[in-house]
Amino acid sequence: MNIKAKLILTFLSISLISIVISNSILYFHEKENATREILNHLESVASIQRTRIQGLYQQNMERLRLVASRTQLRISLDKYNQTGEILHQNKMNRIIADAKKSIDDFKVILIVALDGKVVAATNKSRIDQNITNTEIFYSGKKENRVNFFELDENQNLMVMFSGPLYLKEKLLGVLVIESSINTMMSSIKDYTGLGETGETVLATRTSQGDAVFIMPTRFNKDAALNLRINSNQTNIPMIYAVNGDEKLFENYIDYRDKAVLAVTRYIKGPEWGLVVKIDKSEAFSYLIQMRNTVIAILIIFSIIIIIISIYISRQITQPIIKLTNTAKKIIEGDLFVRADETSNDETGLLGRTFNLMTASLLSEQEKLNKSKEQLASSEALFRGVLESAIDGVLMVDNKGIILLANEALSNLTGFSIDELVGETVEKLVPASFDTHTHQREEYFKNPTTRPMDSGLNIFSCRKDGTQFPVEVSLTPVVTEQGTVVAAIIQDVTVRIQIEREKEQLLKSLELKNAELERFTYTVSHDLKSPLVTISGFIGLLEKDVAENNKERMYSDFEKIRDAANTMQHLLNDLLELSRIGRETITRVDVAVEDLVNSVLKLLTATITTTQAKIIVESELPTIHVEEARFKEVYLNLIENAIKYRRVGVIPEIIIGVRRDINNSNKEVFFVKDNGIGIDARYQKKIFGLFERLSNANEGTGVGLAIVKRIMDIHDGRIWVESDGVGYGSTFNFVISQNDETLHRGV
Amino acid sequence: MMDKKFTNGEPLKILLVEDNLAHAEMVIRSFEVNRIANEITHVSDGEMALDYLHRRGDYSDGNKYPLPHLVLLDLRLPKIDGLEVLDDIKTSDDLKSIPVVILTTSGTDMDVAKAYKRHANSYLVKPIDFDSFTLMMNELGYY
Repeated sequence: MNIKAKLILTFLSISLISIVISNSILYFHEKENATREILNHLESVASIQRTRIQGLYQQNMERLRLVASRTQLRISLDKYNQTGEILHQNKMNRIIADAKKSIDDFKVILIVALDGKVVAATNKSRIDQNITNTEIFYSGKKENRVNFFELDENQNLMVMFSGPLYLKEKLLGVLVIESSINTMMSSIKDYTGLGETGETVLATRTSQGDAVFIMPTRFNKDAALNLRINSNQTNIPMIYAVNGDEKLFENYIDYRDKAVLAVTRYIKGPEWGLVVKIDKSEAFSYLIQMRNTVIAILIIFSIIIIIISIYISRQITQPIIKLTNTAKKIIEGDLFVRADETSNDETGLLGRTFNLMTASLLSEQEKLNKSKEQLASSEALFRGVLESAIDGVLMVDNKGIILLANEALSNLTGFSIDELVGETVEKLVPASFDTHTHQREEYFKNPTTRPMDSGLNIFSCRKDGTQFPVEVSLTPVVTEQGTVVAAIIQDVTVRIQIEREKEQLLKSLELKNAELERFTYTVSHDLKSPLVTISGFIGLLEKDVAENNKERMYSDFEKIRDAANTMQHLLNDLLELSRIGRETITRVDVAVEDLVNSVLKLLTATITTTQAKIIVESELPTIHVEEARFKEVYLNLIENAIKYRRVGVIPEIIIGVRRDINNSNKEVFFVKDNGIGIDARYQKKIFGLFERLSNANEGTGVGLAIVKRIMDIHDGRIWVESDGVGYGSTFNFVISQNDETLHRGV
Repeated sequence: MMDKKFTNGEPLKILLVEDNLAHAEMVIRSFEVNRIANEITHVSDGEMALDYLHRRGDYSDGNKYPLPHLVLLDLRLPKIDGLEVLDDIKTSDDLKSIPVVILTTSGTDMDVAKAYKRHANSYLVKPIDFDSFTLMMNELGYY
């Protein structure tokens, strides 16, 4: 039920209930008064009617007595009874005719003999009529009565009187008078004071106690003698009336089935009952009218109240409805609608308050929108940063659950983002790093921004189980859900590789540097060495000359010459070495066999002298190298093999190629001798510049350095294998045959 | 400072470690020329020098190869470098009291610095003349 209906109902109930109650009280009070008044009125009417009817009854009784008291009549009857002479009969006829004339109401007068035979009558046709068995005759023999009603031949209601005729206390006969009831009727029909429906009804009591109406009623002309009320119908007032009970009836239904007010009266002489009644509808007509007026007023009043309450409630609810509609619009998102605030009453105030609220809502909304936008943009920024980040980023709560991971992390680890989020971070930690969980818990006790386990080599594992080195930096982020940790995970594989390469480069640079240093050092020393010899022996020569020691002088000269020669060789070799470093190489395909044979040709003299046995293996390959340099390589190696032969052992040198044990695709070239061999300690040293293992043999100590340099520029490697002094040596080398020209000169 | 009594009138025993035979002859002859009473043993590489000092291999006979009073050490040596030999001497309890004089071709050589760092006692610039040798002996306390 809405407010409007409630208000209307409230107004109506408040105003109408009081009116209805007060009017009802008034009405019932009025009705009671009216009832009493009407009953009083009816009583007075009834009393008057009773008096009248009683008077009429007495009058008729008087008339009957008057006629019966005619002595001549009684004498004539007596005589007629005795003689039966017409004369007496005529006399009687004359007398009763006179009596009839004097009273208008008398219609017929009969003189009945004791045998019941009419002996005289005003109406000649009635003479000789026998009425022996009639009540009127029977009762008339005993007393005077006016109590017999009959319809005459014209159906007019007649009242009949009868009474005994005595002469000297001798019963002679019965006097019967038929009279019209007009006088009584006119009395009964006097409705004065009874309005439209009021009437007086008259009934006589039968011997059984029943009531028989003796007069036509106002609404039923045929009621007389026809309307009979049984004595057991004790609710009918007439029953009370005929039985002598005088009462008031406030509510009773009469013979017409109408609600009436009635009063009963009893008329003693003829034992008649009299009821004066009036229809309630008429009696209370003004009350009903009043009631109707009240009801009409109530209805009008109600309508007015309804209209007023509708108006008022509309006044009250209209702004509320409007406000509701406004609120609905606001709910639908239109924050720019405004409530009506023109009214001066509370609704206006409500409207103003509402508008203030809407305004503040609007401003809040704007703030919210702005902060939403900011949030969205910062979110987008965050997403952007997160997704564009090269490094893996993840967020972990204090239970180690991954809350967030970016694409980069997914790419790094091979796990999809969905496979990571919701899992513990240990999914990314190798099983071998079993202290991670503990360390994570420790970190959460005092979270600070720091790299994870700085100094340790940390690995993360991929979906396929492989591991990769990472650097992890941790940053605590305080959120509403508590502290979480943002971890940035950087794959440092490449960096470590670069660092390793850098280290290697540095090491090789250092090596180069050291080599360079040693080079300059050795060069300066070894170049100076012959000079020292020369200058030293010149000094000694001077002394020998002074002492004229010729033997020594020759020796001195020889030393000086040797030193000069050595100097010459040194410079040549150094020049050669530096040239190898400076020049780029030009590779060509060259058959190793041809290369070796041309070298052997150069060494023919030496080979012949030493009787060296040179074995060149068959099926040597063709290599893609700088021809001249590799000639040098083989020259140096074969020359050395002969030079460092064992005393008393014919040198045997095998030149060949074999497959690398580790890499069958790689060919290892070798020059194997049966010479003095090289102690394991010096097997690397011999490739150094000016390094010699003995000063017993000639040589500048540059040869193997040159060979090594040639290997370097061919991206090759040379090494020596020997089981030690006395067991011979095998010089092995591998080369890259790519066209890439390496230039690693100093 | 080396105790003078160390020589006790005996000839000064010197171990010359020099790979260059000409240089070795120069050194030996300069000692002869200056009539310095001495007994010079010459070895031509670092390995031989250490074998001698530690009495290993060919040099195991202590009477035949007595410990020298002085080591003249060239730095550029085959097999085992002069500095390594110096290191060995100066870190060996038996040998570290033996003065080691470096033979060098240049007084400003960085080798000299390296040698001093390894507790070399002095150095001689080749070719050795008598004056510088005397001076060196004085420094070492032999004169």
